[in-house]
Amino acid sequence: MTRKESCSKFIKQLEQEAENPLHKRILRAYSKDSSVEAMEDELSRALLEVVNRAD
Amino acid sequence: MRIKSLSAEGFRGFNDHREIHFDERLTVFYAPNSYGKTSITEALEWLLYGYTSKVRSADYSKDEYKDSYRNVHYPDDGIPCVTAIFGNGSEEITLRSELLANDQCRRYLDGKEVARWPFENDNSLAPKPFILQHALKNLLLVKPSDRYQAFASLLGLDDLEEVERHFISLATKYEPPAEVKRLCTEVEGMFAAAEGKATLANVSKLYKDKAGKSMNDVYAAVLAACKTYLGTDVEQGDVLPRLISLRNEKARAVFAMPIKLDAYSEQQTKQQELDIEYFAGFVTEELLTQYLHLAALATVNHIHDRARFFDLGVELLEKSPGTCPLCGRPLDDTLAEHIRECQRQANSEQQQSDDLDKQRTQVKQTLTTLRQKLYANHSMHAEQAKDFLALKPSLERLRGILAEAHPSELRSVETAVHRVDDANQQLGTAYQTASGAMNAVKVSVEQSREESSVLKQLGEYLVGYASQAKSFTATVAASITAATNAANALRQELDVRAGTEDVAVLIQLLENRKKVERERGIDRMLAEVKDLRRTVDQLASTRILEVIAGELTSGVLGWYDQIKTSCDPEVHFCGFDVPRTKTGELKARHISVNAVSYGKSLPSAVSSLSESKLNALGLCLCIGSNMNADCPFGFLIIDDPIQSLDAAHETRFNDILRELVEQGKQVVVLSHNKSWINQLIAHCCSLNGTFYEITGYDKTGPYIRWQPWEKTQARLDTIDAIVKDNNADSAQLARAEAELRYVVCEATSDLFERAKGERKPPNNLGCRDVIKMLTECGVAAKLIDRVRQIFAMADDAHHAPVDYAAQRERIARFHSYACELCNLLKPKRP
Repeated sequence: MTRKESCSKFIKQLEQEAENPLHKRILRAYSKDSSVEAMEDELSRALLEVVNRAD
Repeated sequence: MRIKSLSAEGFRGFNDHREIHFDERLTVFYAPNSYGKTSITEALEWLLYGYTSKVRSADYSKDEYKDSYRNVHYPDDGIPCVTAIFGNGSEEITLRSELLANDQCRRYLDGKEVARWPFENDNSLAPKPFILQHALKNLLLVKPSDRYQAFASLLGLDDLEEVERHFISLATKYEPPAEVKRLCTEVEGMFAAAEGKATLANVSKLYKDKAGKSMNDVYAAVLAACKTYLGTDVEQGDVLPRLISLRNEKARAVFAMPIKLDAYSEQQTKQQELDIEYFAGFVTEELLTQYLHLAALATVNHIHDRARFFDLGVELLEKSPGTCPLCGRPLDDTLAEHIRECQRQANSEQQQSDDLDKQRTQVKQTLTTLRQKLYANHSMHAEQAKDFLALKPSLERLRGILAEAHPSELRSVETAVHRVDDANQQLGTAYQTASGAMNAVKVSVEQSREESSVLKQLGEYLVGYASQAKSFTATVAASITAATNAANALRQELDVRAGTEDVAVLIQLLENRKKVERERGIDRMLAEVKDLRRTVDQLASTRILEVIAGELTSGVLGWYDQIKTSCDPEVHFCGFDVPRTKTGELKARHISVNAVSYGKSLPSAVSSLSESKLNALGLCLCIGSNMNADCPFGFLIIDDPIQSLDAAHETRFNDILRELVEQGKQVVVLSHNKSWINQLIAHCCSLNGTFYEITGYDKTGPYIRWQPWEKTQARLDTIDAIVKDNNADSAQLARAEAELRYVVCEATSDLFERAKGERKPPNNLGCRDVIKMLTECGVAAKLIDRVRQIFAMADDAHHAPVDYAAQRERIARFHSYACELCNLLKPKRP
């Protein structure tokens, strides 16, 4: 198994075991692009959704 | 996969091309310090991985290592490269890597460019086949988190460790967007205001207990606090309006004037832009022409009268042709026709006059529109600043309230009031002037006294008004912060003086409940990110624990037991572990090195073991991880291994190296310690490895010289002693015969180098090579034939153990042939 495959498997396992929707969102973003920036962008999107939520 | 040869140029210490052939079992390098020994290791490491661990571990100061792979003396137009041939049985592959700009590399596999090496896919989780002295300390004598990182790298789990670091970075370094931060700061500010206020202490406390208390708990406390001011029978829906009313009432008793200056709305700003454009461009050439045409209408009544007069005259003339309709005298035809012509002209003039009259109406309409726009614009500005300017008479009173606690806010708002007032007055004056000019134009039109100067002056005044309006807008915009700050300060001060501070906080909390709920949501999400990090940590630590606590610990213990001496104190390494927290979770990014002292566990193994033991442990750890794993590399490069080991442990380590070779590992050892190298070679004499000495170093690179593994005469003497020893067993005799072949190969290699100037490593020579080389060197056919016998008759104790003793004579004969060959190397007597 390559390092990349091993990491993908690791993330997939985390994603499958995650019950928290935010965890799922962040892990999904990371599985697409393995970078901190991808996760930060997704988290920012999630937070802004809360800030701009219609009352 | 074993390494057969390595060549490099322009890389690290190598400037000129250098080529090294490796023994398939044991290759030893000796070089004093700074002779380019480590460049050999680095060339190989860089070739395989695209980086060296030294540069990788110094990641924090990448700039310091930037472009450090390229040899500074290498020609600018050259491409540094490292090439190595690897073999697996009869299969061979050639890897070549060229160093490009920015430390990038271009790879070739058997001459064909490739993006990555084939083994990267197959087995890239395998440990790296390098044991580097500088890396040993990073494994043990470092912070637990750094050790964790180093272990992950050693075990080929560095990508997993990198994933973990990414999640740590997310949980610890993430900066939320400014909008999110603003909301959080605002809400935290509200609850900070509640802190320290007797009636609100519970509210603040419940808010801080984010894990234990819900928003409903917090707002129940807010409501309870409100009821202390409004009574318990107040309806929930009435709480906020009644609180506001209570506060305003009390505040008004202290100071009734509000500080209010709003920013222009988006719609107002847009309208202002349109108005300014309209005013500034009102008087156009077209309007001026239209306006001046109206002057011709001055005679408009006269034209109408004249037309009516001629109409009546012609009518009378038609009734009494030949009689003047005015005086009744007789008319001739010519005069009558003249009257008719005058009527036609008068009617034509009247038609033109009607057209001009329409234009006059249009100009009047334009002026009416201008008046309305001007009025609306001025009113908008006046209305905007009305409340703020109303403060002017109360400034003295305001000073009495704010001077002590809010002097800067007071100063700013006073300045702002005066500035807005000045701008307002100037705008008023410009409005009056423009209105006056507009009236003058209107009068000139009505009285048919149009003059271009009147309209042009209106144009100038309108431009002046537009400029003042612009300036007023800017002054208002620049004063808003001062007004807002002063309003907040006043509100605060009024709350203090009116005793409504707590009420103010309650109003704020009630008005902003949605914001508080959102802040709570954000806070919860950020806490969830930390939970995610913990989950990742746990899973990664579990994976690492599986690897280190099982096979790795037992493998390392096996090697560590071998390096121990009987004289060692009983203070020893006993295994690796990932410790647990009090709650039973695995400690994140932590690897402990356990040790025992005379049967008792030591609290801190790393601090308890001596440096030499830690060094030995580091070596065993690297060896263990390499020997345990399903590693694609059949070789192990060990750079400067014996630092800080004493003589006894050095000897034990020689045993380990020999065992590695005997277990099938191809070993390459580099050291600056010549006596130890000699000791190692003597210890591994029968392995017949390859020995290189780096004899010098200049800017062309290291001078790498092949050296005999053992002196030829010493080998021949040993063989002779075995042959003459009647007690020598078959294994010893077999070894003597193998040694004879090695002596022949070595002598052939020397002869060939002397004759042809080219060095062929003796370890890799077979019978055919030897015969061919000797022939090329012009050795006598008879001797060549004898040499052939040495190879052809090679026996193996394993194949003929029973009658092997009978071959003793044959070995003695071969010994004489070998001596004969070696004699060719001796200088001839003159």
